[in-house]
Amino acid sequence: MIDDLDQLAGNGLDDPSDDGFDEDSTGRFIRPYAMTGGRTEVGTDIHLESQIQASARASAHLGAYRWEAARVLDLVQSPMALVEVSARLDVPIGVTRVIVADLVKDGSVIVHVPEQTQSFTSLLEKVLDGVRNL
Amino acid sequence: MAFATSDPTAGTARRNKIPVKIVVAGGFGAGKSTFVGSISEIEPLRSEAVMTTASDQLDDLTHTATKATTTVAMDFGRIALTEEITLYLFGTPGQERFHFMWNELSRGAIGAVVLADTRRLGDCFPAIDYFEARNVPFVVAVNPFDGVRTHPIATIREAVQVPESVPMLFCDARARLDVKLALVTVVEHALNRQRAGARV
Repeated sequence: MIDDLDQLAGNGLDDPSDDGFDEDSTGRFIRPYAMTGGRTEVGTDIHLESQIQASARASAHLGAYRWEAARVLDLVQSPMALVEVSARLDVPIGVTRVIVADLVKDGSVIVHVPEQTQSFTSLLEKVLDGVRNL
Repeated sequence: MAFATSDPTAGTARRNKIPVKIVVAGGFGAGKSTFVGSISEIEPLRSEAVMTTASDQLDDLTHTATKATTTVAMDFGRIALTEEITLYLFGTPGQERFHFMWNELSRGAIGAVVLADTRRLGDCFPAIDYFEARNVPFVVAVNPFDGVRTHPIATIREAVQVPESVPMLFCDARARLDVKLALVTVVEHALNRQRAGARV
């Protein structure tokens, strides 16, 4: 799966002969910012560490997505941080955030928002116990 | 559609997964990636951020508004601390011109580990200044590259000019136990400050 991803990501993103606008057929042969239509400032409330997960509705939309969105859905079958999606997709953070924000809009993924069921102090205490046990 | 019942989350955040993060900063070659790699439970990954910045005035003889893009790479790792809490470690370049990245990294961070290289102590000043100015709890971890802890901590503390309230320790970034101790120290420091009400 990772090999496949590398192949996809390397299949045009770094190709200097690419004009960045041929996105009709496979959608692969485009530059990162062409993937997002130049939008880079949406979804800024999705943090680097925010957990992204495919929703039940994802499979219904899957056929309609281009490869990069489909790859995101594949990666986030279990929750994965935005930054890890970016790294595994080999696409810059800002671009990944836009793709994820679009998927959120479609209802295909959810961003986990931790419930505030505990104080920050008690969270830090748990973290401290956790690192001590490493 | 066939899989509609395989995912019970159905658009709501069901499980209370809590990601937390610690920033690992320091000058070029101070051992940030090594530090992350020593304790991460996954092979450290690299992600990139592309920023458009106004170009340096000195490069701009025509005084026209030109822009340059900078790509900043960060290495990160993760560790599942409990069923619900996952710790992310971000190693990030320490140069001042990358502050835009630090803003994002520091947002919501528990704290920071500033790695100091005894051969180039000055390289960690930007990171120290940054975290001090933004009230982010940090510790200074001195990576003894020569393998010999020739300078006492007190001397290094004086050289990097951090107050006694900032924990300092030696930390061989290759040694898992040293890295663990640095993490314990920064979380303890953050917790102490939290309890003292220093961080609102």
